[in-house]
Amino acid sequence: MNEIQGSLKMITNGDVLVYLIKGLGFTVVIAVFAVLLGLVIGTILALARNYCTSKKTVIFKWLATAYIEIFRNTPLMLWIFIGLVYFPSVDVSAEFSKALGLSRTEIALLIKGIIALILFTSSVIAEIVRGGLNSIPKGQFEAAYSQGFGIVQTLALIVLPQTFRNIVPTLLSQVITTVKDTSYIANIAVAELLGRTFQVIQISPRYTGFTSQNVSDVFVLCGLACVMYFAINFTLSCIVRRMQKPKVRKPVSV
Amino acid sequence: MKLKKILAMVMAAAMCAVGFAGCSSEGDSSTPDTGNSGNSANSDSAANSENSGTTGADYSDKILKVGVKDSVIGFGYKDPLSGEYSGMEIELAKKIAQELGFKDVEFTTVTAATRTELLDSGDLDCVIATFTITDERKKSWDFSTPYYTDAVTVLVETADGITNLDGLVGKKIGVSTGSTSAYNLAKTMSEKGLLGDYTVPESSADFDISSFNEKGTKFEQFADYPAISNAMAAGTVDAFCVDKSILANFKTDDRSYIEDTFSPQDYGVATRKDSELSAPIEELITKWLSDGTIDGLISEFKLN
Amino acid sequence: MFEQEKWEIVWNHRQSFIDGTISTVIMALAGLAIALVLGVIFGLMSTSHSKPPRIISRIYVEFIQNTPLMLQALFLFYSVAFSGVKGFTALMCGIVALGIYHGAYISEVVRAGITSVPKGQSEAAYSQGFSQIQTMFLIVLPQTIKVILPPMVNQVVNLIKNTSCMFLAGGAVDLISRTNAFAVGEGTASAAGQGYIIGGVIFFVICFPLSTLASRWENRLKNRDVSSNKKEGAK
Repeated sequence: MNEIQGSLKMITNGDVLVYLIKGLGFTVVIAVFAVLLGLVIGTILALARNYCTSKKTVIFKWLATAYIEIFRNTPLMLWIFIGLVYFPSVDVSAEFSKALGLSRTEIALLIKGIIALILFTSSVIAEIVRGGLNSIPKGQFEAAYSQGFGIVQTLALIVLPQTFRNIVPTLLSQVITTVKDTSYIANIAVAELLGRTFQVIQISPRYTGFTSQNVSDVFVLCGLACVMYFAINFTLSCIVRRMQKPKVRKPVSV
Repeated sequence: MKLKKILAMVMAAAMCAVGFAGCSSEGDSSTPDTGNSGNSANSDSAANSENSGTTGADYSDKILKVGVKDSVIGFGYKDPLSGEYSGMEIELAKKIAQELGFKDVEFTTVTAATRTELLDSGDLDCVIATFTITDERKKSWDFSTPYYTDAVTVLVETADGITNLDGLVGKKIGVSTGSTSAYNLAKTMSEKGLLGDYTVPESSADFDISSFNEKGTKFEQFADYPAISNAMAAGTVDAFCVDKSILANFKTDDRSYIEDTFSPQDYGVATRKDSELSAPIEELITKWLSDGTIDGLISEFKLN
Repeated sequence: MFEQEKWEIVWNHRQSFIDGTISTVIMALAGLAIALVLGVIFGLMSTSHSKPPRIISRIYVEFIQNTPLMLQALFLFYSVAFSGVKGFTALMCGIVALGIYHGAYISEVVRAGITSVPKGQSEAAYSQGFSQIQTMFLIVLPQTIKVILPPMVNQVVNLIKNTSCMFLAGGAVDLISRTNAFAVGEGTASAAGQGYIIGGVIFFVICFPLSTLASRWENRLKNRDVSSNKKEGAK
């Protein structure tokens, strides 16, 4: 019983709680950022893989295909480790680093992790966008061409807007996946929620008043992190489900 | 209308990406290694370079980025919640930054897995993190004269009844990735004839830690020390082998060291190969070794 | 990248990569076995007629899918470790964690497969005197296989990629962690780039055929559906 009380002290200890909530903030910001940039890169990749079929441009198709297949078939963690050495370091201002509460090198490290996450996510999103593109009936293209639209105009004005509208739910599910994927950054930097949770578990005896960790510390800290992840992801998945429902009904009303 | 919004979003994001690229090239050039722009007559730095005998580089608007440990009390320890660092290596880094005329010093936690990579990538100017000088490492990085000498030993759960190297035969031993402990332990054990006919390779580059399996003795590699300690508590590994000063952090009443200590470990300040910081740091360390500054730090943090 | 001596270091340490590949494959296969069992059980529960099994299955799926695998692995490893149970290795923990995590995804795949079979089929089976269990295993499940195979194979690819989840707490067991251990190793760090290339290539060689297979199947299914729809439409 005492052990549990000791562990619970960590939750009532405002410092620990704030420390973890800040981690949650990092997690969410990183995930949103990764999905947005991933969407840009992914769209370009998907367009290249789908429509660069003429002799002149076919090289882009192969490049995009290679990129997508390489990132889809290797783990994120590999890219995080590779990025540690080979990705560019971003130097941020001292004020920015103070505001985030991380050293500038730690931010550089974090950004390398985020770049790896973006590269990885963009390959997944490319396939999502491609699925969306492929679901647009061919007739739309033919109709557009017959009206004198070029391929670029057709894509930009007719196909892509429909595609994006169709894939919004899938993209939101991807946000959930990416929120979870941010945890792999814990292997190289302590900034997001999982890294911080792990950090506090290592030093929990300082807050519980015991000489070593107890099982209850693990339960309390992992439980807290679980609740935080769950709150965000479950909200998102509820939104996804609500969005998907009317889509099913649509054909009935038409 | 919608399309415009989307286009605007795409443009904004693309600009962000371009910004990224811009930032990164800036970031590279601002490390002192490549950005040795000013030998200008800044009186401040002139004074500094005089008393430290540097090449006269001006660091007065630069920050010294140092990689340190965060879980080794006495050397480098960080309070995770307040973010404050303390320890002998922290003091050493502060002194170096001060003597070389840096505007400020900034600490970053490194593990065995990240310290060399961050040094290589230019994210760190130097690493002062219980980093052992070895011949293999000297090929890739510059090291200063050792500022501290430690030895490797092994921590075990007292209840397991292991008291010396003999007891480690057939056990699983937790070591840190990127450390020398596994090689040294295997070497010492084979020299004592505990591993049968096995002899360790001449160079540690040829020693394969993760597939090592002699008389059932195996190594498990972990990214960080606390994880090894926890794994030992969990019984995943039977012993914890790193430098003694690090083990001291994980020694509890239920744990004890084995009798043997071996392989002196010389800690040095690591810099990139041929970095312009290598020579001045070397000078400072030798100076502080002879004038007792380092001995003072060692006794201040109770490391002797 | 082409310095011979660096590739020699990798070659001298080939056993690391071989061991890593073996543990990744073991983790993946054993994890998959657990995931399949859990996936089928919870997938059936979620299509059950009574409410309690549906609710239990929903809770399992939502809880597991909305929290990161690494957190689950960390929790599992440390909670067992600090309860004083000895001998629960990182490999074992990884297998269980992967099984539970991907079980949730596979149960969703199974559920989707079952609901894709028209209700009329099971009604017809009941009318022929089949019991509920007989209907499920003899009529419904065999028909779902075609639909669930592609997403299932995709899950297998994800599962293989997720074998690195134990690194933080459990140490270097799987291929990626061992590649990292090689890349930062005292004697091997100079060949880090070469090590990552090898690790990545091994992963690619394992995953690429699987994911290509999955997307081929998927496309074939889609095309078949489209053509059969067209035929029906023509009627």
